[in-house]
Amino acid sequence: MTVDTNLHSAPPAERRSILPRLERLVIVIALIGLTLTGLPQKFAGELWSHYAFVLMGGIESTRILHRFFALLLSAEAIYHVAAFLYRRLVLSAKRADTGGNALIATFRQLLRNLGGGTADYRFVLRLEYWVIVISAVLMILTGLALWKPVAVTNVLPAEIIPLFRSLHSDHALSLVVFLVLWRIGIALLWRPKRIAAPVATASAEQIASRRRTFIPVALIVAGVVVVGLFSFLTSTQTAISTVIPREAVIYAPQAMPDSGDPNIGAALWSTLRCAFCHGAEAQGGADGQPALRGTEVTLIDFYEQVRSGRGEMPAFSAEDLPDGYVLHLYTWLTQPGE
Amino acid sequence: MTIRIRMLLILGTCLLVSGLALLSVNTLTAVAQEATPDVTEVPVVLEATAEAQAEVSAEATTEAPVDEASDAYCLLCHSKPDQVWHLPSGETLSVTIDPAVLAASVHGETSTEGALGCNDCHPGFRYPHEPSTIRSVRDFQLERYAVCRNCHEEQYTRAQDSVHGEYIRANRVEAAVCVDCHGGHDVQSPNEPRQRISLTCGRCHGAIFEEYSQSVHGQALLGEDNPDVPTCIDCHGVHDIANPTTALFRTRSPELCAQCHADAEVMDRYDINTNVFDSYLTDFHGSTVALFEQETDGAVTNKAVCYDCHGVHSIQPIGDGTAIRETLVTTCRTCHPNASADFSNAWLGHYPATPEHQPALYAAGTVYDVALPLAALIPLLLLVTEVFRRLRSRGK
Repeated sequence: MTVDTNLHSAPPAERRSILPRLERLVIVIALIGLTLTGLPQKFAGELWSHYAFVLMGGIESTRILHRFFALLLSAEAIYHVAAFLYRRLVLSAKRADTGGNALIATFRQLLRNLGGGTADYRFVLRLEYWVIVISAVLMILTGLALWKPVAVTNVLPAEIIPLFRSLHSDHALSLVVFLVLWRIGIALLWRPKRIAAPVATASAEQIASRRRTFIPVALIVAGVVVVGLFSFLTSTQTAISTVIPREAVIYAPQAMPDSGDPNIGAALWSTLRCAFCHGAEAQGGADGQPALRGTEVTLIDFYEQVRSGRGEMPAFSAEDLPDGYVLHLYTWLTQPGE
Repeated sequence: MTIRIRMLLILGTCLLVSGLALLSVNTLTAVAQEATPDVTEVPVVLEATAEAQAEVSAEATTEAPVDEASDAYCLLCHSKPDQVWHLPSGETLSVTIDPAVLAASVHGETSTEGALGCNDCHPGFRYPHEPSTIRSVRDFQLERYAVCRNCHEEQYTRAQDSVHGEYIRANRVEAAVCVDCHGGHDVQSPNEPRQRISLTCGRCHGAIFEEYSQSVHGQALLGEDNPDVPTCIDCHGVHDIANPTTALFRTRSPELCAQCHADAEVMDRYDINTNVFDSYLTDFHGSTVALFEQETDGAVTNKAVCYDCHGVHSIQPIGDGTAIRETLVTTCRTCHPNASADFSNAWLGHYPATPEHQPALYAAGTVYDVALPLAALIPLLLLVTEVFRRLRSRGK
């Protein structure tokens, strides 16, 4: 078992394991995948996002791809934690001097650059490592909550969903900006030396003995985490998969409603020919046509007269004035207090 | 055989052949009538009394001759009360025309294009009328409405492309044609007063009209003559009315609402927040719907659009949001059946976070307002100062 399972270790070539390189490859693929599928979602209204979605087969497939890369990163995170614990608990690995706190080292180097000092850019890899670790924790937790908001809000207050969305979105953009510029610096100018890998301090017997406990426990814990993640993602239905059922009677010729609406009646009056003779407000016509506001005729009599006409007044068929509209008119005409 | 017997036989044969021929023609006609009953021509029978007919004939013959193509000629009969056309369907159609109504219509005396006469819309009609193939009132309307095209080509063509036109072609004869909305003779300006628009649609879409009339839009239109609220056509269009049950209509519907609700000039009058559309688009539902609209015309999404939460035709005022908050979780559960009781608190109500309202969210936004520039600034500073350091050391 090799001991160089560390993201930023650079052991001698003959001891170099495939695993750290594989980890790096997985992280690079996951981060690029998450960026390419995430940024168009953040900037969904932009034209370039539209083309990105077209390339990825639409918004739904983009979201599926984003979740795939997120799961890839999560799997790598689980493995990375296990490998870290293995080095600490089984190998009792110790690292040579790494130059102290990476953030402080950054500012020290800034000052050295301004003051004409020497360059020691080993810290840039450590700072990048910790940025990725902290970001991965934040992004995976908030991302899972956004993936399954209903399951999460069954336990946590619902207000965290917009909070997590904001954090996920803002942090992702900050991370992408940082990593792109940081990698440009590493490639072009800083060119840091790799930090020596941690070296095991435990004896071969100690390692063999600890492994017998560590491996089963690690497998069980990893299994529980994977099963937990799987059940979290599958146990609760977030939303129905069909379009919201909605029923409406589209073709329904006006029938007699249960009650009349004076507003509709008033609006009808302004559109019908009744006003020509009975006045704009049904107050009565210039040629002695009766006022209809406040009329005391019964609904049945009113209806009969509308349908049959009387004297000068023409009959209005149901085609001219549907039954429902007759009731609305009557309700407005007999509305008290007017 | 004597000549007399021969002649009798010839005569008998001729009679037999003639009889058989007559019988077969009658039979064939009957079969033809049974097979194509719709094209049977029937005489146009009006409920004019013999007295009225005689009167008309007398007027037509004794007084100064009336031009057969003039309105006056048509009105000799059609201005008389109770003129009814009995149709084979058993229905009757009133064919009495009130010249005053016609004159007061948009096609009457006030028309800037000049008043229309009877023959403009009923060309070639003379008295006595030709037998007609019309069997019902609806037949008559469907046969006549195409005449509107003579002057209103654009509107007619757009109506043909509409959901109504599509239904008519599929023999759904209840779908509206020109005369159903505009009338035949009493044609008024269709959008004056503005309430007329929705009252017209409500004649056939009664259930929807009832909902609309009780909504914040409907009450303002019908009760207050409000010029800003939408009538039916503001969302559905006028002649080229699209089918509102399609995926395309659904995904485009937020833009319909935004026509007014993103317009600050209109919304300021009612103290309504215009951030609704933008805040919707930045939300999960809105961005998904907007993206679906961009993808393909037929792409279906079930992500919520405005009307899923606010109602389609029964939209009520939001007020201070208390009422809608109380029922919001029920609305959420329409699509998220497992949603917790406070699930609706995940929704910010179209408002951006403030220190008083959603302080944690506000703080997070503020932190990243600083963190994002820092994420760019730190690497850039380190890059620039490294270049500076190298230049300086090279100079030495």
